[in-house]
Amino acid sequence: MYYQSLNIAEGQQGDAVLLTLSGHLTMGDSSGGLKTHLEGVVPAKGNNIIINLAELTYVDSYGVGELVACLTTIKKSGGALRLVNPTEFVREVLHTTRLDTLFTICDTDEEAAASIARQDQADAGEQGAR
Amino acid sequence: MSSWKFSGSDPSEQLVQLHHFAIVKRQPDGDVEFVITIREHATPQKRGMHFYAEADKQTNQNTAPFTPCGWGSSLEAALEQCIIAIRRFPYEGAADGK
Repeated sequence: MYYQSLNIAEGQQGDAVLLTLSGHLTMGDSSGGLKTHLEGVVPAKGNNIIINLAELTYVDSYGVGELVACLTTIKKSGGALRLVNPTEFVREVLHTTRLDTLFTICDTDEEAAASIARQDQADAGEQGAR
Repeated sequence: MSSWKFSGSDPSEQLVQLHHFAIVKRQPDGDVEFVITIREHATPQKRGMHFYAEADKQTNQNTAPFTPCGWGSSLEAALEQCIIAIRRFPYEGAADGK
């Protein structure tokens, strides 16, 4: 297996920021790190984040930790994070590490945005009821 | 290759050799010992997961509970990755108070 650096493409899906990852999410990553990138996005563009994993071909345990660190940052800011369409290998890793129970994993970007919108509505309803 | 891997088991039986380690996580509110179990697979089921290490406790429990883990093609690689994962997030105590 040869090393591929991580590439992060930024876009918008509904009201959420869409980060599309490609390459490898590993400790040797020279892109500066997913969490560091996310920490730049949240203050500027909001804390509802979709991470599309369809082109992420390899993740090591450090990369798994990066995903958990992103979820931690988002949760602490009161936002929502969705993972979308992981490759078979990444899906197996999430299952083996039992992180598939921690993350909400959607099939498409549109489904992820709708899921976040539903969570926002539910949160707003809870606040209105208080 | 180690001789135990030729023990005649069927790959679907997922024979593994277990290796155990322990490390103390130093924290301001007290040290916590993590026991790491590494599973050495006779027939790896997943790419790059010949050795799979996992800690006996979670970290980051208050926000996004995470069980430190690591994997690789050698015992040392899996152990190193798991230790890095143990250091990464704070241990915030078990729900049962352990």
